[in-house]
Amino acid sequence: MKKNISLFLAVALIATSMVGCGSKATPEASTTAASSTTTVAAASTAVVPAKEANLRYLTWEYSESQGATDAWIKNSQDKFNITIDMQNAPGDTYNNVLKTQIASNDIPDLVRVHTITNDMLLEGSTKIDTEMFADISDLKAVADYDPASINNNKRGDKLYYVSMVRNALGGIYNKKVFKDLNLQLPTNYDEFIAVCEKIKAANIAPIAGSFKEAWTIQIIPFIAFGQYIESKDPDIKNKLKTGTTTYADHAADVKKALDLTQIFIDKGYVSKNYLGTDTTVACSMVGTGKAAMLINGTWMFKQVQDSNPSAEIGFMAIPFNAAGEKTTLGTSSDNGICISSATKEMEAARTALEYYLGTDIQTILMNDLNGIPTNSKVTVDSPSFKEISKVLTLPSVQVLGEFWDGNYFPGSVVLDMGKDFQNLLAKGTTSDEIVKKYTDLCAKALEAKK
Amino acid sequence: MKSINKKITEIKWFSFLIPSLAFYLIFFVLPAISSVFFAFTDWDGINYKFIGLANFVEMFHDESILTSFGNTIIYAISITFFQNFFGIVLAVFCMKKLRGLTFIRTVFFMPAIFSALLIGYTWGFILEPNIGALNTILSVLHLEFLQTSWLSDPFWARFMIIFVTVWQFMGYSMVIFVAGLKAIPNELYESANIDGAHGWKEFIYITFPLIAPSFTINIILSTIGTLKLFEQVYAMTGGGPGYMTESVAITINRLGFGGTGTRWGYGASMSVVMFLAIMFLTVFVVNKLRKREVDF
Repeated sequence: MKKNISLFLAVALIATSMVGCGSKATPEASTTAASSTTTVAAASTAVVPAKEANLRYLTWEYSESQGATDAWIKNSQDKFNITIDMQNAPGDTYNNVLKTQIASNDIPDLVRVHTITNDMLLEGSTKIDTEMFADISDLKAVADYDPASINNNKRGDKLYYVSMVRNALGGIYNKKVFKDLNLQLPTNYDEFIAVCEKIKAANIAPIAGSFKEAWTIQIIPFIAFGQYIESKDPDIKNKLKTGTTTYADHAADVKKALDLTQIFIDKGYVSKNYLGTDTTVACSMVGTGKAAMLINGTWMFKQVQDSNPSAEIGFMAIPFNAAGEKTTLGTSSDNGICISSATKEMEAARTALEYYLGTDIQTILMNDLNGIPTNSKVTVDSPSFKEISKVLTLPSVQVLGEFWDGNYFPGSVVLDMGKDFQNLLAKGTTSDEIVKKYTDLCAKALEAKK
Repeated sequence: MKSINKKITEIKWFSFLIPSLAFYLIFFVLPAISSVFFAFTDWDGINYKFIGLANFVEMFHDESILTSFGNTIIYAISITFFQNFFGIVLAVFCMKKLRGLTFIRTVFFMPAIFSALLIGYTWGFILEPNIGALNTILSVLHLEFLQTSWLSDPFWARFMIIFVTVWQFMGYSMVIFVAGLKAIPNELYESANIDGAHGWKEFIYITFPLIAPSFTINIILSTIGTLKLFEQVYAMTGGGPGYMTESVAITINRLGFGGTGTRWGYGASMSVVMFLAIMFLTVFVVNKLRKREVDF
């Protein structure tokens, strides 16, 4: 008897293991499949007007856009009888989660993406078929978005997603530090250096370094690349992508952009332990006035403000320009939602996305993200938005529609610029070697494309 | 009839092995074999094409990969040496007839049973330069001149990875050495004492040669473990700053699963090189160490 029971248990164990492998996830299964994911589905109490539908939604940014996402999920259920099962994957593994779902032909109905390149590389690295996502150009809400946030995401006639938020790179600064030291906002490089010297003399770190997180090291070179290279040649991105020009051709300017952070470190402008400090500590340094500014993206504004709610925080363009030149302000608009062509609930997916792109949800989203809306009907009333808008409209500022990143390389180049720049600060490489590496990578990718 | 029943019984008992065999096959053997195949491709997790030896050629021209191989050698040699050195010192100490020795042995061994990730993150907090315990204590003691960026200065970061790994696993080596020490017959020490050998001489001429089997197993285990070093580096520095503290295992992870990582074929080729290195090194070390083992 015991033997039979044991045998039965063994067979049951095998059967359970096998069932676990390869089964296609149902919406219910997807909510429990991974312990590292978060699932939110609103319970409906309202009258439901339409046919019931279930949609799976994959994202990485629930924590940043919680207000908008919760409202979207709840109202989709209440207004349209659409249940949205959200899978929130951690940001650093999002690419792999998405790739795994694509590989297993298990693409969620709605997929949040940072970018799809011209070469159809999803998130800049996963080659996808042009038919993988549906065309959303005929959604009514699309007409409310600025042309750049639509045209950048069109491949042929097909619109894959609409960029919903625009960010800018600059300095998030503590106004009290500037006021106490009687400092004006700098408008060129010499003034910037003079301001940093005065702040340093007051025993305050002019720049909070958070370079433990490699991505933050990219910001200064990105701003400098815009000033030194892109302002002179607005088509530099396409030229580098197609091989019309190379990084070696612009070696002096690229090296100047890469070496700028080290120059600030050598001058004593960057807070100590910059390679061991993360953004949380750096934001708090600015919020509490231990450092004057954090050079980063507008998305960090809220974190700096939250570190000290009573502090007056401002935003400025970082001027790496010579006197008389305009200061460039790198901006980017990305971050949209695609509809899988394979969805069995196409109408429901379009309805849900239409609602997400509309003013109701977008207004909440912009407040969540502290971003600049790309939807012309959305107005934001936050202090941070006012600060950022002010800079965007300054006559001395030249707004660039993009900033240097992986998109300035041919499609198949995979690189981690943050790690490369961190390696540069740690003396593991030189700016000459980085220029050579990027030139070689581009050449190799273009050669392979031929 | 009897033989049929016997076979049925054997099949029944064999069925108990199937779950573990299936797991071993699916999650270890198949991926291991397929990684050899993918090492010769540009696999990005979905698509691949055969590219011959290109990954291997690139590997030996890639500065960051060479750095991680160099780091791994530094980690392997330093950790193996210090872990075993302190392991035997602790083992000899634990053989003394002292009160509370069982408790002391437990304390020394305890870090080895904790997750290396947990230990790594805990030390990461202790060594954090701005609000970490170590720099705070140094400040309280007015020893600010000793404060440094423990995990962001490449030299100190490597040193700390070695220190924490040795601290965690020296108790593990100690236990194996204690077992070896206990197996040495007491008569050998008694006759050595009669011949006038005490203390250091006793250790050099009796203890050290007779615990050779413990040395062999300890050195093999710590060498293999450190060549695959991952958790401590991942938790304490993430391989940074830049690529300066990356081990091979961290580099493989970065290539496959990092922020922009999609070069799984390239990562697989590194795994193959690492596998071969570990295999040849282990065979070499085992052969060398076996020769100095003494039967008694």
